[in-house]
Amino acid sequence: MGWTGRLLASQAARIREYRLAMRRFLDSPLAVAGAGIVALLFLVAVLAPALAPYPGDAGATTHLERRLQSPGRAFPMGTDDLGRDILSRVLMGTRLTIQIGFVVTLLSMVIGVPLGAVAGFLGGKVDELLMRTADVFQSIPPLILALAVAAALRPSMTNAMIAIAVAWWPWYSRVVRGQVLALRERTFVEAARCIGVSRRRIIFSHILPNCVSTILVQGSLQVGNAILTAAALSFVGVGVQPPLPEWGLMLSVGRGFLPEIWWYVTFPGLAIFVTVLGFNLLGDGLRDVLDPRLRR
Amino acid sequence: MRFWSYLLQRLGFVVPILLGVTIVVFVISHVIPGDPAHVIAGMYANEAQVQRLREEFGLDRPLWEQYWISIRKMAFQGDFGTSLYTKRPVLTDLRTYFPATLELTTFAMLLAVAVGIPLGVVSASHTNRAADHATRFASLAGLSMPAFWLGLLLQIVLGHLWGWLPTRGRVDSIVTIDYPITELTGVYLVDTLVTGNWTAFKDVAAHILLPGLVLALGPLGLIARMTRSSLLDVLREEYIKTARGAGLPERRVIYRHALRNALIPTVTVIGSMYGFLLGGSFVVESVFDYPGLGLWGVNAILNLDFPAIIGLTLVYSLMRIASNIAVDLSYYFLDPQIKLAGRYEG
Repeated sequence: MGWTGRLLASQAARIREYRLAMRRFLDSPLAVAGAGIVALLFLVAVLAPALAPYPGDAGATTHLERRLQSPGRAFPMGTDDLGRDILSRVLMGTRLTIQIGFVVTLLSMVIGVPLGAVAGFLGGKVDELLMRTADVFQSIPPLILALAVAAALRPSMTNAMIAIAVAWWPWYSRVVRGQVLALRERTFVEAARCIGVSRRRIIFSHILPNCVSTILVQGSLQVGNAILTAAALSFVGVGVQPPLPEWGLMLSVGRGFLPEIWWYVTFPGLAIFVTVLGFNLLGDGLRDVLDPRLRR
Repeated sequence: MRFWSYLLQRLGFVVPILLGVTIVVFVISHVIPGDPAHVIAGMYANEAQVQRLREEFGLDRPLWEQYWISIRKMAFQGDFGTSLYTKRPVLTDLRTYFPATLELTTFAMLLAVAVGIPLGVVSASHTNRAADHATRFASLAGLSMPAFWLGLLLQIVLGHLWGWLPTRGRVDSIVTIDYPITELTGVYLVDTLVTGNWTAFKDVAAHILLPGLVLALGPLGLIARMTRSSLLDVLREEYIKTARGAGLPERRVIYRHALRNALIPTVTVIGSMYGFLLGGSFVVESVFDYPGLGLWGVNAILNLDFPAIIGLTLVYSLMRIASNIAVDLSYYFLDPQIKLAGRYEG
């Protein structure tokens, strides 16, 4: 077989592998449900201004004449203390939530992945220093670290996202470091080193591409967690600030009107739950497909 | 003995890690735009008053000096400083609120283990059937549930609507007038049980039920998932096939032979769950007005009360590190073949 033949054969194998992965994913009803929920969320996020009956209610508008109305035909999820339509706010809030989930995940990757790769590749003192730093960060419960950082930076959506990423990067470093340690000894890395490829290039163009599926699995499982943590920060008061229609923040304000005004907390909370569940189901499914070691 | 030398080695790493934690928190607390002196002084203080407070708390000195002073005090005098908010010594506050949080998190942990492991076993012994899908869905749902939301919903339904359970606090103050709790450990369930104070015991149990349940849900999901996957692994092993081949009933194969080995990874998850529970206690305690470290900590964080935050982070990190060490040591008893080496992270 000539090199073209080998190339074609390897392409064919890759396609077969891809089909097999697709089949495995589609075989799992939970994974498919997760993908469905996430797809729907993106759709809602894009179409929110068109779907929301009162898109203007996402901001600081007030309609005191219709404040705290219970769910009914005009307002399917009721209205809040400023008379804003809760359905519209929940729909518009989808954008914020998805943004938070992805920005936090990317940010933790941007901090954690290079550090883990460098630690694993260089080894020795650098590795020791980086991993002991990771130990320190991981010994503080993540939610508490995120709360402290968010409060210290002054409550805002951007700072909340930074705070959660500060608490989460060590998980990426650890996973990537483990992968790099294994890959470092492989022949193709040895070969690259022999022909004089620079260390930076070996790490970033030879080793890291091989860690992509591991990083992806870790990341897909974190999106839901990031959303949940951000909602908790807003609930406590150090996250997203009014008048943004963030779900955790809505819960936090709505809490003051319990138990009579049950709808104020019920629907935003339901939105958080369904969103996080969707991402977790999807992440779980992806892990089964992408991470053969964990396949059941 | 290898066991003791390993334990010593692990304990040796606790101090550097805790030092690291203080550095992290100290840096966070001092590179911030906020000025704690302004926060303590309140909105209506003038600049001179703020300045006086700054000097009183040493906030005007250089960063490294402040760090050095506070570390020296912590290490040699056990002095964690004074809370800027409650104006009490941080150590006194920590001692007051710690038992409540320990009680709540331990209760939640026991609940999660007691329900999570059997759930995982059911799931694994019915792979890919309805019971399995239902359990897997339920455990993911537990992990995806915003604790504060579930807490509020349970308060509305079980507390206000049906009036079954109390929704706030740790114990009814009216109950403690007639049946005062003798504080031995500060863990009320234990204290009331030991002194035979049944009325108070029932009241404390009723108060801990809802927050404990809400807190347990996430760990419960994780424990069930871990039990399921590791049990499935073990069930593929040769000796299980042998046991089945010998005609042992499936029940016996699972509970007597497979589960013991399958529990090792689960124990790891249980240990790491403590961090999850400790974080969760912040939110859950503030939803249920449960007077523990979490509620106190939320106030400390909202008020940028840094002496309190440093003390709090140290206690929480210490609990987390201790649970990790306990997990690694428990391997020794679960499976003596496992090497106690190579893991020295907190």
